[in-house]
Amino acid sequence: MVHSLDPRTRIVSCFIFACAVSQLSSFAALASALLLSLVLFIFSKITFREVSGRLLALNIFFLFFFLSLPFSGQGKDSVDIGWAIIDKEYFLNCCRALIRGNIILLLCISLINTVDILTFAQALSSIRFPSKLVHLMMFTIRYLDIVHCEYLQIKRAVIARGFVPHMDMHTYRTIAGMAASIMIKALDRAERVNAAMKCRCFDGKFYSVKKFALRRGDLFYISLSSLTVTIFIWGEFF
Amino acid sequence: MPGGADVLAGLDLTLFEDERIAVTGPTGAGKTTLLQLMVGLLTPFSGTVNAFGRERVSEKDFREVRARTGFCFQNPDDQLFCATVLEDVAFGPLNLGKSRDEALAVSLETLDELGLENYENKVTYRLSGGEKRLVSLASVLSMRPDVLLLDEPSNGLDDYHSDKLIEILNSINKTIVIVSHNNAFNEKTCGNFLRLENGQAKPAISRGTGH
Repeated sequence: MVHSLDPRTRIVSCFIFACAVSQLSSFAALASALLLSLVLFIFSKITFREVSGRLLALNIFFLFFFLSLPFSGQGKDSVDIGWAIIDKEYFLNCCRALIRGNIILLLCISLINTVDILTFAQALSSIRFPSKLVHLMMFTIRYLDIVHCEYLQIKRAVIARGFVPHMDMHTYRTIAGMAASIMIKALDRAERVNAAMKCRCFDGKFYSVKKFALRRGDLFYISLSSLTVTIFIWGEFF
Repeated sequence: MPGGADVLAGLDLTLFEDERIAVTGPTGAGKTTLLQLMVGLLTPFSGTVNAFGRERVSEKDFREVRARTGFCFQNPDDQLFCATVLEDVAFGPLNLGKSRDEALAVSLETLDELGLENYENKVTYRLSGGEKRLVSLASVLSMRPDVLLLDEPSNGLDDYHSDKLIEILNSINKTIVIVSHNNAFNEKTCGNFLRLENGQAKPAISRGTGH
């Protein structure tokens, strides 16, 4: 279902939903938005197991909010629970942030995770996303693995000559040398890749062999989601 | 140049149509430098570069040269930067202003010519070294160049892929410059030989001297 939507539709709708959700503060609206993101998540056919790590990481991050913020306020609405004073308004804000964060992550997972990375880059450039950022992303994906291989190569070379890390100057110097060497190699490679692209007449603009097309499903989805966002915003501010 | 010495000083090389020339020489002799000068990736400290009938000076001049010259780099990983084979092969034709359909057609045709049918949707970084070499050759051949410049094409190839590459190079009718210190490979693919030593050119066998 989600998979058959045009990638551009998914990216734009994810962005708009995320912006709308970040403005919601009533719990009724947040709850319905959470429900909506869960529905999208189910339609995306991604298993919970695949994304549980990401959700866990986000919620651990929010745990620190809960451990600090409610205790730092001195508002009128504070509740004394014996060993600490909890500020009600701050606590509720933490809850809102928690729900918003989870909604946005679920939206990203269900709408954007389902686009393969190259299509994602091409869709971004076709909606006029800054091309420098798109190129940066594409090259990172392609060359990260190669930079990693270079790191492993250097690491093996160092280990092969009997290097064992200790807490001493020699270790720091060696590690700094390794890091510098990886960076210099990456820079050299960037220059060679650029030269190779120039040889194939690259003039700063990427042309894609993929063609995107909006289908009836997209239009249906766009109208439905615009309606939803409007209802949310309307309910929130009027 | 590293070391500060003059490389390729006094070199006068003319490349004729349909000539196949192999440039040999020890590392640091300036073999790659020569190729890079030809397509304007480097500018000579002195002297001129003439290509396709006129002198080439500016970046704009060389853009035209590059459109007609296929330069295959030493390391295919420097050349192939797209996620899939088809995208990499179509990159050049698209840059030359071909439409999407034309670019797709010429790319698939080139892959077929090199015996890489059904490779179009393969992921570039998962290919073997030999396959990457053939795909990087396909990525410049798809531009339908007049001249082919190959920098150490036999590097890192097993016997099977080396033989296949020789067969391909011998089957295409193009002006070719190969830079390599693999003499067996050079002899099987080229008619003329040029030896660079200490930055000086020495025609090794025949009339030599091109570009």
